[in-house]
Amino acid sequence: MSDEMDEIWELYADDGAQALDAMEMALEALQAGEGDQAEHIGALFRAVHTFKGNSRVLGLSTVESRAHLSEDLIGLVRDEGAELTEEIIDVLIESGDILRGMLDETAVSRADVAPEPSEHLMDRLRAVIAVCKGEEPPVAVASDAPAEEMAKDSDEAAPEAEAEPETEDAPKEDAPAAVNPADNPMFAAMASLDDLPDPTGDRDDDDFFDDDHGDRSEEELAEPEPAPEPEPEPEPAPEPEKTEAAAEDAGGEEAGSGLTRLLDDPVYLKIFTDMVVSTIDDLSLIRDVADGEELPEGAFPKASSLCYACEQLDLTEWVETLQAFEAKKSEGGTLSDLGGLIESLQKLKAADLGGDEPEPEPEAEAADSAPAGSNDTLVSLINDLEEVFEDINQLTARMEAGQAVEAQEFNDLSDKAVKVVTPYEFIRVTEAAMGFADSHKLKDFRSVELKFYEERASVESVLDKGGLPEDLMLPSQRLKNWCSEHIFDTLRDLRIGLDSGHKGSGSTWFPEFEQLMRRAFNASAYYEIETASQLTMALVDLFARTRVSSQSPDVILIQMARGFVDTMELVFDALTQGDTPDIAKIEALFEEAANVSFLASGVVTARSIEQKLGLPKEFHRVLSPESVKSAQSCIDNGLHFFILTCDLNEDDKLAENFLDWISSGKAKMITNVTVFVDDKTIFDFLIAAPMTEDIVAEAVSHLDPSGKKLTLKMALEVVEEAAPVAAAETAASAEDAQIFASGAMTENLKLLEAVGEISAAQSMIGAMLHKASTRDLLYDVQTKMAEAGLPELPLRARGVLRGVFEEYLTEIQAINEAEAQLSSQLSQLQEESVSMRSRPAEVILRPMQTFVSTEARKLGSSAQFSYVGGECSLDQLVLEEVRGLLKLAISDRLRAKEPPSKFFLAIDREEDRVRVEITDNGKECALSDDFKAASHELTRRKGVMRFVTLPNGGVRLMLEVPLHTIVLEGMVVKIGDVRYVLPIESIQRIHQGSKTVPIKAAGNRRMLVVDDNDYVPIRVLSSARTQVHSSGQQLYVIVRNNASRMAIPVDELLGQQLVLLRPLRGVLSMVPDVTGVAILSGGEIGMVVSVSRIEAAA
Amino acid sequence: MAYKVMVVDDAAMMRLYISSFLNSLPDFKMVAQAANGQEALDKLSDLPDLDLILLDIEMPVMDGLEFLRHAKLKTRAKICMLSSVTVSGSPLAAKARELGADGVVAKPSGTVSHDLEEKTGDELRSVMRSLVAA
Repeated sequence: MSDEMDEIWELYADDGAQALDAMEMALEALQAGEGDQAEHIGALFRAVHTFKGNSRVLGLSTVESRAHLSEDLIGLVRDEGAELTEEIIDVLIESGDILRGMLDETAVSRADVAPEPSEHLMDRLRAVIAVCKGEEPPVAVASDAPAEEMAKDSDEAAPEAEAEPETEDAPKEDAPAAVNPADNPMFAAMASLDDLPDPTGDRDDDDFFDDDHGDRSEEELAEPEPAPEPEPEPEPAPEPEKTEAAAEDAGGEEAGSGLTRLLDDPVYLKIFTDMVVSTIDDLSLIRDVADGEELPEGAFPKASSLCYACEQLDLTEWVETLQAFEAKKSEGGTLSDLGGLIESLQKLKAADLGGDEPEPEPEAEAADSAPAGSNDTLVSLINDLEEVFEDINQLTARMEAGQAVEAQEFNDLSDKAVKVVTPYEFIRVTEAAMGFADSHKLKDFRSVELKFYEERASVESVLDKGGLPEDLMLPSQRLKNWCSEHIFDTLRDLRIGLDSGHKGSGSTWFPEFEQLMRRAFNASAYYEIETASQLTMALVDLFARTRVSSQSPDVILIQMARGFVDTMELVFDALTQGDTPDIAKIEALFEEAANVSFLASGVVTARSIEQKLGLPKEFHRVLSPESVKSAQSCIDNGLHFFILTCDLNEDDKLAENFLDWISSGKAKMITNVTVFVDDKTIFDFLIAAPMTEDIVAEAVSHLDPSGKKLTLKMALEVVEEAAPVAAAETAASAEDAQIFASGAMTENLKLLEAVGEISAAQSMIGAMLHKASTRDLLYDVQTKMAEAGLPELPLRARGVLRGVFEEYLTEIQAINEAEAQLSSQLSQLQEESVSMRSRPAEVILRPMQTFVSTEARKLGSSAQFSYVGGECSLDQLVLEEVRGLLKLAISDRLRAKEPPSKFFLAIDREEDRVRVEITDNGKECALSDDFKAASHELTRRKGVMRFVTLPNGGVRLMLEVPLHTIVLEGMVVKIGDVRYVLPIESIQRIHQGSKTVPIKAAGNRRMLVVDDNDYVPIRVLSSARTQVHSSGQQLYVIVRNNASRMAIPVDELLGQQLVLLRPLRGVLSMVPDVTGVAILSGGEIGMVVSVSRIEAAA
Repeated sequence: MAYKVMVVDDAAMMRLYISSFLNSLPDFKMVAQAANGQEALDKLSDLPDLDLILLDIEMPVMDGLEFLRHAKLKTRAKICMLSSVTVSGSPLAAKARELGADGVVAKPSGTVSHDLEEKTGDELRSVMRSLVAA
């Protein structure tokens, strides 16, 4: 504060010196008769006026009074046609000299000067003024009169001069350039010091107080207004009202009991009112931010400034109130004293300054009869409004019937409603009631009616509704009834609005849109369709945000809203028919609305990040698109994620340091959430950092050595290779979405592979045990002995050995049986593992509906998607692959010049592949590069992905994706050195024979003759180096695919086995006729044969 | 004269950030603040000239939505939700609209968003100005 005061006094000295210099120069020019006299007189007036204003601001009453009287004299010359005599110039020169001396003195002392030494100047000025006015020179006043009195006397001595030229015209014309606050740094500094525009309240014509300025921009203020041409024959100034007021004051009006003479002036009233309002605001803020009960020091300067102004305005009661508060500074007041002062000032303001009345006390008239906060209020209000409702209904009926309604009737209704509701002090209900007066058209009337109901329902929502009479029609129920009755009108109006394109700024269309949506909301609430209610408000929110940016809603929103209208029509239609509506589409739209901001931002959804980071539930549904983008970026950059708990509100220093740390680049804040512990608020921060957990823990302990206010709550694991969850596809239920949680999927696959490997190894052990258990050990011993030239064992010895070997074999067989049991269990486990990984295709197809409609909307069209085969069970990895390919293909189709409006998908699982067909009604289109690349890759893996143009119009996508990660039971066969697995379910029989015949019609391909008249084509596997023997015995495995059969020549049957089918990778993907590989029980790799592919190749 | 604003947020740092943001706007002035809905409700009667309330949702004692219910009956001030849980079209944004929030803006980085001015400043400014102008 002291620095600011120093600056102000320096400004006073500089400005004052400049003003007096200007005064001196003007007088010299006038004395010399140089230049434009009027210009010099104007400059002289402005200089003295500025000086006077500056001295007044600093409370230098004596200085000000001298300048004031000098200004009066100059004013007579400038505005009243008084002749500029040498006497006048002389007295003004003397005045300038005296004022300069005062300036020098006050700039140093920072206090007013004694009045006595300059009394002779005042006498001289009064005398000259009197001469100018043709009056008798006044009698000199006592030299010890107070400065203010002297100034007042001077005013009284020249009432006309003040009443007319100063307060009415003259200052307003010239003063802006002289004392414009925008130009005057002193005023600016003063204003910034304490918002005190003018503390003196003196009746001055300073333009700083000119209410013209109140409505003018700074630029306008900076532009000096041209001085008007002086009136050649000034008419006598009319007696101003203020003079009468002054007379009344002089007559003994009690000071402080009401408005003083100065406050009769609207300009002063406005300035003082603003000052009071500003001070109350400032004091309220000081109170709000106060820490503890101690009275903040900052309140006193505010009170002091206002007190000073009140003193100048003779507002005794105000002064006493403020001085009583100022006394608390030495007495040691509390925060409640400040509250008391604010309350007192508000009361004084209401009493003396008018304007807004303070909030009525709770003990208002209405509260007596209807205590707020209880259901009595509601009951009373409802009962009181019964008649009003009847009137509303009558007027509505007449308007609907096309009958004329007089304007007065609307006014009467409004008055009646206002009269009823006003005592309840629910201001918005009252305002809504007022609206009836101006709503003469049915549409407008209904809007007001609805608004009235809504505001009353708001009252209901905050009141205790317990114990209400059962037959009471609650406002909310009346509102819902009304909306449900009008729902089809509402939807129709919505559709018309949406079809009109909502051109232009949101301010023109949004209010109507919002109102219609609120009706839809209440109609949904009537039928208790919670999701529909939520959806309406979600759409209102989305459209409202568009409105703020002054844009028309984009095509996505319009399409979404159209989808809403379509769906709601069906829903309400079903409800009115007494049917159960299908609300799945509403749920999908609601999910879509919730994710639209993510979609628009081009980021993954919040749910995706929640899953990738495994965020605890308090972080669910709180990630903004910004946070999601930030988190994804940190994941991509391999940063680590942590949750820190911080008690920010408890320790400002810690909060500052912590927030600095997470903004410093050492760590990055993703988001934070509030956690309540009783009534205390603490915060959990999700951060990402390049450092490891121990380093973060160290940083945390450095920030808060106590370890109590900032703690590392947990380190999060980022799940690798997360499955992308497209924003538009989150219509899938949480359970569905969970299946694509990549972590679980990866872990499942690893588990399944581990089980498969154990199973294979276990089968190998089983085979070895079987072999061991069937071995004739005695025979082996005898053979080896014979080969070694040893004599044959005696009979008894053979008998003993046989017994030992049998015991041994019995144990082996027991182990073998145990192994078989274990094998069975492992097989079951393997199948269950596969089952756990499988999901019905439904989980990707249902969200695909939303994807299609959203994509279409994005591209400005609309499309529907339907499907069959949703029950088809597939491994998650396969589903993921299929989903990606479908999205790619559908996106391509929607970008066609003439895109489809309908898609129909059929999905089916075959032995080793999933086959999908999507038929649409669009025109053929060029393939995107992405589509071509995906098609190429799929073909390489023996899949299919291509479009077929249908002869009767439309396009069909043929998609075949090889299956993998499935468990199948197969027959392991050996052909040459290679082992193959033939699916058991495709094997018809095993045949050993030599009878084959060539078929000419089939290019001399040989047919196996199984029975007399049964011919089966022989199909040698492309990769097998087996020659079908034209003679001799050959082993065949006859397989069936649909109606076709094939005889595959093999060298050896190795047995049945459960195998885990794995995808072909690398060079193995080039092997024809096979669909995958599997680890066999001996640890070897087996090629899994695709029967359908053999058939296709044939 | 600047529009008078009350800030209601349980995070002291957030109140500071919002206050700083308001200080950068010549047409707005923070005249009061509160740490929860109940406290804000208590202050409403002292602020008959209030123009705007910036309101958080998740607060102890009385949350922002409950405050909204009560405040709509007591003040003409426009109420703008400023919360981390009011992302566009989200369920809580929808709820706020249902209860009559005049504006809804999402904090960009959670309950305590130090980057409020940087990331949401333009949007918040536009919303505030459109509300007080309405």
